[in-house]
Amino acid sequence: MVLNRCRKPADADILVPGDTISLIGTTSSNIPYDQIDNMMVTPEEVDILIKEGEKLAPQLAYTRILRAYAGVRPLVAADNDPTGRNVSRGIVLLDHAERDGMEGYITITGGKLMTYRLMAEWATDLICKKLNITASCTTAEEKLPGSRENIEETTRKIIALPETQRRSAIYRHGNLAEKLAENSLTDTSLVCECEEVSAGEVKYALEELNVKKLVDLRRRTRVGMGTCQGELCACRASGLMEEAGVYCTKQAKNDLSAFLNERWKGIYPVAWGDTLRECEYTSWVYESVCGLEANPE
Amino acid sequence: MNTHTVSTNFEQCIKCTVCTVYCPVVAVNPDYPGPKQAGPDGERFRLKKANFYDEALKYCINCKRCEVACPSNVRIGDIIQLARIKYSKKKPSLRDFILSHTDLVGTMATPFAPVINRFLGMKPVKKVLDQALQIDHRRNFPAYSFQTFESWYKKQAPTQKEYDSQVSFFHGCYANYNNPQLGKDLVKVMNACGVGVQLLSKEKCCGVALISNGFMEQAKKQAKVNMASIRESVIEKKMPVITTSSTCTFTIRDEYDHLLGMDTADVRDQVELATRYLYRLFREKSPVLKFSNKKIKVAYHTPCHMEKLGWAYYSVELLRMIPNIELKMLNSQCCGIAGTYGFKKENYRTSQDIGSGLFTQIEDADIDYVVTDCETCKWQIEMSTSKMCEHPISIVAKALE
Amino acid sequence: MKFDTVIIGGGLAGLIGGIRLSQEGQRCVIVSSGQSALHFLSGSFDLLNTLPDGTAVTEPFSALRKLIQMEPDHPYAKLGTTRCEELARQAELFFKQIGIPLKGTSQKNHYRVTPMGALKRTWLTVADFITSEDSKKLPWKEITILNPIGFLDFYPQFIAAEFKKLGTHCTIHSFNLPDLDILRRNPTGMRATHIARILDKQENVKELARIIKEQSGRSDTVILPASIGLSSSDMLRYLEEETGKSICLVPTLPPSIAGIRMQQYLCNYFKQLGGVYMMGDNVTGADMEENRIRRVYSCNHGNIPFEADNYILATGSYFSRGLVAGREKIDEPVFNLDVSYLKDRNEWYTGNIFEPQAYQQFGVTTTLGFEAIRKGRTVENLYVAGVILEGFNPVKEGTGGGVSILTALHIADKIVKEGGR
Repeated sequence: MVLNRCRKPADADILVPGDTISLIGTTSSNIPYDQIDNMMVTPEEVDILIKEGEKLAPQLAYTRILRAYAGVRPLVAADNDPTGRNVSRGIVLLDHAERDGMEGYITITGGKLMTYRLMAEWATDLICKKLNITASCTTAEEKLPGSRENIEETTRKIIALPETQRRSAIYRHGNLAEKLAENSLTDTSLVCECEEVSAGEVKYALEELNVKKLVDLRRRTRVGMGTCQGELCACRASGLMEEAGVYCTKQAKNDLSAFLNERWKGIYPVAWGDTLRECEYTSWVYESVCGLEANPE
Repeated sequence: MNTHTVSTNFEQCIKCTVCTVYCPVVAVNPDYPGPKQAGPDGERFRLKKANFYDEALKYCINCKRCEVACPSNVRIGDIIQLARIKYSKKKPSLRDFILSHTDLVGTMATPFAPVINRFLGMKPVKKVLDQALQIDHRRNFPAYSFQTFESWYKKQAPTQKEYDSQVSFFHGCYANYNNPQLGKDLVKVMNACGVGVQLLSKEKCCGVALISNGFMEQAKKQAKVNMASIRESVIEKKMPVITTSSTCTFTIRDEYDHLLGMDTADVRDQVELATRYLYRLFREKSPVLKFSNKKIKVAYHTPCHMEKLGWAYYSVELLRMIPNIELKMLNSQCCGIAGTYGFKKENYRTSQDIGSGLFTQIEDADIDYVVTDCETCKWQIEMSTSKMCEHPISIVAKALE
Repeated sequence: MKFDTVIIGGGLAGLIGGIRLSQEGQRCVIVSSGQSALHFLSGSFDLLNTLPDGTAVTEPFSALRKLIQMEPDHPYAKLGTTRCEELARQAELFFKQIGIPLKGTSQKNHYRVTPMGALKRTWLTVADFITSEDSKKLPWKEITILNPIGFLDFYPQFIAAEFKKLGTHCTIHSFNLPDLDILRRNPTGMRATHIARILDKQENVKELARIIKEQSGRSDTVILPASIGLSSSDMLRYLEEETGKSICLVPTLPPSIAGIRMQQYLCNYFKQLGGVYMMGDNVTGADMEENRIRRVYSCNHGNIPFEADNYILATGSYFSRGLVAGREKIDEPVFNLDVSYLKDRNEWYTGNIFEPQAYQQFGVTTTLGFEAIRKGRTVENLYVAGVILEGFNPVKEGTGGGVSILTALHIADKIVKEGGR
């Protein structure tokens, strides 16, 4: 269930459930081009989201906040509104031949991750038109990897896996989870306990999902995205990756430090209450017990 | 009322893993995911989708040792029990019915106690129960008493009214159907301190076994009766309620609220163990008790629910009033029986493995009795060791001249 | 419930204080809301490893003066250099007397080995853990590292890589036991504590001895992860006798076997001296009269309060909720004592997690004698010990253990000297 404030677009309009967490957002501000890699969350933005968000759900005042993140959207401006609120989030397809007299150039921009296949379809349709290709785009009928078989069938294939991690793996990978059928007993040990990611699932991601660093692993399997934000699992994951030959121990440590900092970037804007307790605990484990440093070498 | 999401505080968990160190089940049974996975970790998934519920949560014995250890005050035991209540698809069996409906079984058994006791002690009978009902044949049944405590009390009622101070006694199933002597000892000790003992106008089994076996409606029915009687005693008659069983006390004070969603705040603080009541009484009024000088060597075992209540101190201080008592504290560990849990065939091995460290401690101790406030701990200790186990009130009653 | 001293907080500081006072004949109670941060102990206590400006410290006593200059509110500053030295020596004697074997001296830091193979300066290390006097060279040419298959909280490869740089060659061997495969049925079964329960069993220790003999080749020394010896150190002694090798431990990710044993040992010792230890209870408030605490109340004990001549608050930092951080302020939740912190939440942290974080320096303010201060007024019979105190960064400085132990001993001595009033 999504909670949405039905009013003219403003800050903290929407409360969205996503997997095991919920999201309250957003704020919107225009940033100069040279700052687009510097995605900071300011305390003012956090305060706005919580203050306004409480009007949607009063529980927000007390609930545990895991992290805050910011992203950059390339949108096509229709006016000079500095917040960018009035800019359409819709997909913008520009034919530069028509617009600017430049043959052979199109721009596809705007939109969101959710609409990327539609954007691909629009872009390739236009290109095909220009190249006189009449075949129609079939992407809308193509099932995405992971949804090419029904859940019951996949469940049957990996029924030997412990229940919760099996369901988690299927939720994340759909029918691709069948690759875990070859898991040995050792592979069922969990790497990430918050998100039920087994060693087997991590190995699958390393072998087949182009995972080169912990941030990749995080995106593919949700390792480090649970409430502990990597406290329990980041070390385990980097150890596994080193063992699997993804990198050497030196790179593993650098990657681990980088990953912890990547997590930290989103945690410290909301680091109070239990979230701050988690931070303290994380620093004890990695700095005190493990002796990890910023740049090990 | 959705008590499920409102009353659990799984968000406070910071994944420190301390609970997993102190869970007695996970230490011996690898089929149990452990308090962290079953509790706060699992709760996030169950909230996402109900089918993430794992039936292996049934292995949790609700000992609360995870809660006692948790640095974040997460109500791990409650999270797990509430999840079992809300999501489990397993229907209770006939065996579960028999084990948990203690009022019904007790009422039927006591008139035939001598026969029933002999019957339940016979090996062939236990084998049949093992095959037919999955009640482990190695488990000893507690004996039933021919006369219930309530029927014995009827004769005492008039004299009890004569004391200046009065309390109501929630006797529980054990004192009523199995060991009225404990109730008699309680009355003796209270009278010696100048306090008269009344019964509640209507008392039902506290329902702890009903709750853990999934008979929620029956548990609520019985809890409502008990709460009405308790309110009548505390609010109308201004008489606090005392108990002898640590589990009954914990159930009424905590589980009625946390698991049954009942509001007990108005009377909760007036329901306490007799040993706590006496501790306060001795500090306030210093009644004089005459004890015999007989030497006695005991070891005190802290039941899990007592550890949760934090009240072992009161029982121990009461025992220390006995002159010439040599009292040793056993390391606080779960005995493994966990109420009806240890009777079930599928749990027997786990129960005995959990308790093994405690049994060794007890066998190695040079003592006359083990002393504890929980009746199921007593059954487990007497079955699994060579020592006898008594309630602190009974020890005190014995020592009184 | 009447006691001589009530100690709120059952971690390192609370237990040390409780034992010291009990040794002097006091009747003490420790009330702890949960198990303590000792459960994540590395296996070592730090006295002073690094100055706030990043300078490495090899001899803590020589660096104390500088430290006090840099951090005038530091607990060590309140004690002063002479008293610090005295207490550090007293602490070493204390652990020896109560039967906890620790290596190391406050005169000179030695090095402990972390799960990632780093060498970190430290003061005292639990006897079975691997240590080195020198960070550039280790006392072994050849070491064998043994690890159970599938144990993800220990990293032989990382240790081997670091040791190689220092000229020590490591061979790594994984092993398995049938009991470990049974443990694996639980996806979170492979934790140090669960593995230790398995390896501590007689038949498994015997098998481990056999594996060590087979796999350790020319190494005189064998490293095991600290996932053995939960019940006692006997199994390590047995392994050494059986194999003729020196067996050392390296800590793992939490939970820490060394920490659990330390906690349980200190707790049992305290109880044997007559102390009462109440676990799983929260102190909720106090009655005060003329700047003195008369009695404190707790969740479990309701209307039966604790009464004592003196009180020690040793509730730890954010982890154990000795300090509570709201969105705008930091509170001490039991007595509402004065807390020193920065008002602007922005300043509580920096963007790089490895830089010193200001929030770790916040804490309860006290007098020079560690008496609590509430709304600017001294609470005469309430003392504050341990990591809850203001003015130091336990992670960056390596002073957590030292502050807990030294302040606890100091306060205990003070209470005994001044007697009850």
